[in-house]
Amino acid sequence: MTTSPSASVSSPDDADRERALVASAQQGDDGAFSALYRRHAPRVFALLIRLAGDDALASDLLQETFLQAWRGLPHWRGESAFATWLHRIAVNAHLGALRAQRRRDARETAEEELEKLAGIAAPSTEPGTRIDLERAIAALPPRMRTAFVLRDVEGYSYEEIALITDNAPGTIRAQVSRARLLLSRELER
Amino acid sequence: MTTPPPPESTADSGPGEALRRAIRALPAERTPPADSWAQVQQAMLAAPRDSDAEQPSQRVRTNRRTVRVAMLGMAALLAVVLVSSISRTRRSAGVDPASVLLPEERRDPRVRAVLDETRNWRAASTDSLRSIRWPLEARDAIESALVATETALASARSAVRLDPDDAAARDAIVVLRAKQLLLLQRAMTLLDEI
Repeated sequence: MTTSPSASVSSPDDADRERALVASAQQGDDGAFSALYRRHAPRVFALLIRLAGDDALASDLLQETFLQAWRGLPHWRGESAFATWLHRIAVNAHLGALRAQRRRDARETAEEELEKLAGIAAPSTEPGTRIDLERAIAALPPRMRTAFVLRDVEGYSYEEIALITDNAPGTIRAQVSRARLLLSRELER
Repeated sequence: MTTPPPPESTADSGPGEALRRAIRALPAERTPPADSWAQVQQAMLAAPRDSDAEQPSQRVRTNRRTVRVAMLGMAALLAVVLVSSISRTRRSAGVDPASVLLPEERRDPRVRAVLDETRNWRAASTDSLRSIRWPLEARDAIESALVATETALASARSAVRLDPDDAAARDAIVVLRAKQLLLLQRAMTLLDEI
């Protein structure tokens, strides 16, 4: 997919409207921020569902993303599109949750992740549909899912993913490769 | 002239055609739960945003807390610093930050300055003698800030790869690098003064 997050803004008029909303929200106008939420939340939520693999967790991360955006807006200087900035906050929120989870559950090993993969091979009722792919992505182990989504859905490089997830590039390549293999098999079922 | 794609250390053929099609078909949007905005609003009320006027006092509070942790926890930190230095050395050995750069970043002397400073930071934070006085809390905050900046840079690079004419994303890379350099320089100075 690798869509640009700024695709939420579709025309010059729309971009002007967005700039006005951002400027008002920076001044503390929560009505303007609410309008920004309505514009961008569906796209950010889709990203977070894919990264988190869980609607409830994605919903929490969505709230965290917009809360951080609200708090950070007064200091934001608009160096990038607002959607790109939001997208970045969302990825960071997910990585923070992933690190916290790793600390909570230090016992999760590569072997256990491999065992989890067996769960993906559950029978599918709608072969070849996007629902299948979403379900299969959600069933991947968290670190593998993050690597796959950032690489193949969001277009990050292996080295970038390795840097931000604190892993070796070889590990990320292996995770993405394994995820592709597994997801491809699932699509063929 | 178009910008060439960034080099990959080994060839990557990407996902197979069927998976590629399925990825393209993924919905770009999903409707959040109905009460999601109400929850955000509640949180906004519970935790008011920082205003510019509040920043200095907040900074003073943070510095006081940092110094207090440093003084009270010095002895206990010794063992932790030694252990974490070992694990940090192992973890950060995997990636060379220079390997992710866009071609124009490679030519930018400011980026070289950031990379030098990053290497200095890595060396200092894994040097247990030098970093023994550094509060773990402060060091973790800096590590988190560096990861956040790298995430932001990755996002901007991704935008540039999708659209080489995306001037906003290119500007964002320059600004983020400048911030990263400032963060590293200030962090080293402040921590060494503790």
